[in-house]
Amino acid sequence: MGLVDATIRTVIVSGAAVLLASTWSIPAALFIVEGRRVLLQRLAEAFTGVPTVLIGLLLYLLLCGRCPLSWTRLLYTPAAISIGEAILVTPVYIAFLARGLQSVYRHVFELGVALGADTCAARLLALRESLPSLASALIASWSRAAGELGVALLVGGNIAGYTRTLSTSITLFVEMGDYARAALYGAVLASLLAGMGVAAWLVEHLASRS
Amino acid sequence: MPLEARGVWFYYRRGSWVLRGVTVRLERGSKLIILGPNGSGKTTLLRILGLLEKPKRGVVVVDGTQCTPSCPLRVRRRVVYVHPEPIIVRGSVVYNVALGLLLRGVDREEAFERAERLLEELGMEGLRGEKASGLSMGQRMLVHILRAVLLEPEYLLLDEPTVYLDRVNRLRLFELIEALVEKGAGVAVATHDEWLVERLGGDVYELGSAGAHTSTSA
Repeated sequence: MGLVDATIRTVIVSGAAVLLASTWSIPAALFIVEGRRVLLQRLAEAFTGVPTVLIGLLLYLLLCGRCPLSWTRLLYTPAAISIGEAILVTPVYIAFLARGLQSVYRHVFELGVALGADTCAARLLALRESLPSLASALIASWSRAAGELGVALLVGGNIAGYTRTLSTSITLFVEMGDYARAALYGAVLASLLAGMGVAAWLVEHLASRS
Repeated sequence: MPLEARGVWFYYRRGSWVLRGVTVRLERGSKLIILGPNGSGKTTLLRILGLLEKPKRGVVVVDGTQCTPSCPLRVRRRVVYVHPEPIIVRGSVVYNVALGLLLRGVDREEAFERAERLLEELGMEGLRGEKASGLSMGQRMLVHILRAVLLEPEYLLLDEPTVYLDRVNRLRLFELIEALVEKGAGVAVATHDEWLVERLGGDVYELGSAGAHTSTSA
């Protein structure tokens, strides 16, 4: 039960994090690409390796008992993990997407503008043509979120049946000396990541056929 | 009322001018050939006229209205710039040809009908359901140009349109340009293709190296 529960939670919490991050990361990547803001892109790339525990700590210091955002009562909830992971994956999302959009997006966006589309229609057309890049950014971000530990431990609290994910379960089993179960959970996590990779490849493959 | 670039200066890198004080005028119902060696600024000039780039100095005037890339859609839509490389999007040939109309909010059925009619006129109806990504470079280029032609713009700016075209398709392009001009459009063509220059006639504007214009002749 614990394995299934942790797996489902990992998928949902990380998925929610990536969806949340999409709301600001996609516009940010478009802002970088359309304005050729290379410095911002480099900064995003530099922050892709930010320690997960640092994001977890910062968020904890906002959400804890006497902290500025304590009134939200989000600490030790799945929502807090999703928010933390959304912040964590933002640089990865932006860096991957901005890199992927450099060629096709720019050309197609300009084609749309040259044909007399309004900016919004040109963006939608260009994004549609850049689906493989979007898929890459999504998969890399989800992978970063699903495999992270610092945020899930610090603001999730590793509560069984509520905020326990695959990565926090692995830590727990290692601490308990139950290496076999830790390895089993690790294998499930690795399979999930591989499954998402295959899914992204399928999307890309289908898109290239249309 | 013409499309004009008045005293246009432009650089991509500060200090390295691509265009220096270029003034050029495209009248409706006329043709303008833009000549010049590689790097002379032909593409840049067309992109500025096509309202895709803002000149560093000077202005672009569309039918008496001073314009920049951020000017209203109704003005921008009078001018269509066609890139020198064919840009094809996912979908069928007919979808690609109809794309401009669809982006301008024309009903899907009507846009497809008009695109199919244009393909038929050119004897290309056999390609309409084909995936555009499977076309040859020459066919892609033609589709790329057709989607601009279908918009019947008041000013059409073609950048090296014959690079990928064989003799048959070059002739098709020539006929398309003639038909557009007859309907009252102004067509500017930047090209190295002597055959097209000879066939088209019209005004010639020659850019020298480093973007300084060396001659303007009719």
